[in-house]
Amino acid sequence: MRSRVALALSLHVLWGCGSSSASSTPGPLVDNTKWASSEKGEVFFGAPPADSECLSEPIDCEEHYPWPEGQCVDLEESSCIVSFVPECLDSFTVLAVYTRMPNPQQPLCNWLTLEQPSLRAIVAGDQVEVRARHAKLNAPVPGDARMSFVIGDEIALDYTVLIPSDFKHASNVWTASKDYPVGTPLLFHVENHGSNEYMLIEVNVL
Amino acid sequence: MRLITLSIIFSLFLIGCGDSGMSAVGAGGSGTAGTGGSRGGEVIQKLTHAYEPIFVDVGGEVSGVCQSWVLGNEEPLYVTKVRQTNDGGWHHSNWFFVPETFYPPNPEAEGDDAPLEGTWRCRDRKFGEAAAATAGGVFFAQSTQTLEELQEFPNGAVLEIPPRSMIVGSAHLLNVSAAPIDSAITMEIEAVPAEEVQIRLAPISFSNTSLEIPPMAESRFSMMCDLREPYDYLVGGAPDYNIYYVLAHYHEWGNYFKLSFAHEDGRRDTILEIKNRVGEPLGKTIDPPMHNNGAMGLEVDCGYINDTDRTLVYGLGGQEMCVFLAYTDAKFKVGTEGGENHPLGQNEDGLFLNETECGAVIAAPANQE
Repeated sequence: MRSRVALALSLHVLWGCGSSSASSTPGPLVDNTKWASSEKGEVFFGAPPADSECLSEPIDCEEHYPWPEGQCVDLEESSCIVSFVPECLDSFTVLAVYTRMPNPQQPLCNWLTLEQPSLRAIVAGDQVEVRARHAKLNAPVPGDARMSFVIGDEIALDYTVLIPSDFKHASNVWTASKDYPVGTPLLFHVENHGSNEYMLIEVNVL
Repeated sequence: MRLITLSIIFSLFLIGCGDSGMSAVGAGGSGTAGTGGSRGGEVIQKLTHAYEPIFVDVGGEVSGVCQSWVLGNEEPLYVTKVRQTNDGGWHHSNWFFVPETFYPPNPEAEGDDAPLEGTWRCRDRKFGEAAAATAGGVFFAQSTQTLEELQEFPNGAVLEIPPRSMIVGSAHLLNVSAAPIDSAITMEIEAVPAEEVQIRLAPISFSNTSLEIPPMAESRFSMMCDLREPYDYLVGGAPDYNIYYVLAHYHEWGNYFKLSFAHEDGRRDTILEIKNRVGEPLGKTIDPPMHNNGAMGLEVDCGYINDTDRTLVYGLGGQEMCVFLAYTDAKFKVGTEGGENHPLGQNEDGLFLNETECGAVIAAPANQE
């Protein structure tokens, strides 16, 4: 009898780890200082175009790069050319994506996928708010822009807009259909034409 | 030798020259005139003005909005410090002093009762930074997204604000928070009496108006103006001055700016260089001030990445500019425009290089005691 009780307790503890009975806590899902280039976007966004290119390392950025661990960067008065950077903006640390390349002979950054593991668990039924924006979008010829955010195997934000476009705030509240443990891969993806600016502001479990 | 001419533009500069004998400050505008503190025996006049709050929705951005503050000063103001504080979301703003009637309300766009002072769409009153800088001068340049900032001229230098002036700026706000904001900027001015003034700053401004920026290419334009003749004519001797402040101005295709002292032997001493910053270049206080060290003139270089399929020329909307305004302690004011432009071909990095002749040099005396 005692051994059965012990077995039941053990199973209860095991189920409690990573099962939907676990509770989630509201708060940030991402740390915008932790993004890194990724090749995991193909399953969601298809293969990158043949001419796609983005800077993997900043240029003319000796004063700032590598970025200070866990901190945002203030690039005012800097000569840095970067494709993505944790930037200080008001009280936020945002992920800023810049698509201008050093000169017009190089293709613009037109395809970028970044990844990081999630900071907290999500359980089925949880709501996650993704907030992003882009500045005024311009390109020599009209085209499409896209910003997407992936949680595990689902797209939580999929925003597209025709270029040229005025600035826009892109946000979505996504409801989880199943559990996602801490460390679930998260992707932020940008498709672009022209010399433009995109931004992931924050992602929060509500 | 170039002809030294006085133009309408520099008539405005001359209007901007206050009488050095006047020391009283009468602030009759909407700002709060402080009772003044003292610093080493001198009386410091403080003026404070809170501009109207500007609403910015969640994720929103506001640009093309201008705000004006009528100082109501009957006498010149000798400004030593300008401080701004704001409630957040102020991405960037440039402020200028202009004659108070320079941007009158536009009744067709704003209605018959629109006040001179307040908040208005910049295009309704045809506000432009270059024109404002020419009509009056640069007053304050807010750094990106700063909540509080102090601009203080070194060495006891002052910016002289003529009687009946208005402070006008174009605001660019950006709200990345999750709630709408109503955000206001407050400006505080410290001024000293005329007898306490040590150095009065005078403007120098070059505009390369001969730009021909090739399509789908990166290019540079260099223009050097020899200031020896106007300096000798107006002040006497070889140029001898310091630069205290520089504001560069170009549009969204600009990616490079450099202002240098130009020596006769070809040497260049860089005063300010801005690399890779696209659009919205910032004003910069040069501290300590930089002396010309015998340089005969100034050279301005502007760079562009033109990703359009058309040649860009000098102009407003959809075109480009290459303008700077600097403050010096020279006893003259100078403005120039571009002469003939000479394309020099591509360098080894693929940049299209251009050399623009200096156009007419317009000069006038400044800082007459």
